[in-house]
Amino acid sequence: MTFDEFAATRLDAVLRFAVVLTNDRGLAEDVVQEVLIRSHQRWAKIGALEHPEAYVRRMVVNEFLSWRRKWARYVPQADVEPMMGQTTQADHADAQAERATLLAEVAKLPRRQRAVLVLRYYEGLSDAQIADVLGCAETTVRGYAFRGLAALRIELTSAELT
Amino acid sequence: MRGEDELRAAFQHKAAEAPRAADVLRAVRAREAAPRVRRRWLVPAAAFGSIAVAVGIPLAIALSHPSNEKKGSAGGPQPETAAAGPRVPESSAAAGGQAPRTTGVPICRATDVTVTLRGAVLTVTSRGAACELARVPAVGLAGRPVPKPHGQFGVLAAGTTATATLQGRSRCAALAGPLQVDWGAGPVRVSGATTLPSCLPVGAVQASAFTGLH
Repeated sequence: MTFDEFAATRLDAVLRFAVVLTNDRGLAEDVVQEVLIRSHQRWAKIGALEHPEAYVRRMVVNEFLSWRRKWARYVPQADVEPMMGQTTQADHADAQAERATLLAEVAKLPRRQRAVLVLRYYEGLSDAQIADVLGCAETTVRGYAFRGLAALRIELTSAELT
Repeated sequence: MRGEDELRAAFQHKAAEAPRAADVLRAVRAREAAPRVRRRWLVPAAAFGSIAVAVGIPLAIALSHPSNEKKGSAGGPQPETAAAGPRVPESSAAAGGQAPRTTGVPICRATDVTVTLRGAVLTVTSRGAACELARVPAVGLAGRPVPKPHGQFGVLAAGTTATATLQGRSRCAALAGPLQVDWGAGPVRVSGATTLPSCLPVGAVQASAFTGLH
């Protein structure tokens, strides 16, 4: 797969993942730009992989985990949707407010916990796959997930418990 | 208690805010093109600087040697007691915490050199006789205090060029104002196009050591 082919077919998915991971549209764009520039330089190897998107997604995660040291001015802010002037049903408004609150709480989690939750509940990766992305053990991944979900007061319905 | 499905739904909703891939790709192409343009000019400039140093230093030593003899004692470079004397008194240099200078060559004044800034490269070009620069200049943003440079000094031979690379500790938008540089003669305002951030706190801009000094 060439770089242009990857950009045409998979870049949208990478950007959506980055926005969920960073909770900031501008930061997501900057992270993905950095990753694309670096990956483009090494695309001869990346494009030859069986799953280039997985490799690029790992680069996005690593870039996100290291961004505080490089981009100190970015302070992640949860996008609280304005409720004024919207004519919505009460239930829909409550759902929107709850979703905004949940995302704001996710944004406050430590970065690794946030990455684990996004990779599990947005990308649908298994703990083994998440461990491979983060370069840690599966038990570590489960620990991050457990602490993150506890902080969000989310009840686990799956059988995976630490 | 919330459920896992609520988290999944929240993430899916957030994903809809993603920027357009075409816009991001366009920005990537622009950034990939820009550095190559700057590097194209840096290579010839570095080559010219190297040639100027290779030719200029021996010439400067040859030219300065007779004038040192005229100033007083015969033979060899003179210490700080040379008749022309350093334009910046040693006491002030010592008070600023700088290493003692022993060549007798005066510190470059702002009128002795031409200072330019392009991108992140600071260039100082001699306009006359040999003079000295702090090997690692202090850099600061205009309107803010600039620390005194520390460390050794080096000779900028007559007609030669020294360059230093500026580094910022964070990334923001392009700088919208001039920098100040202190190579030992006090802060000198430098205007030019630079890509350093405009939102750096005091002390967050630093320069590498000058190349091209003797």
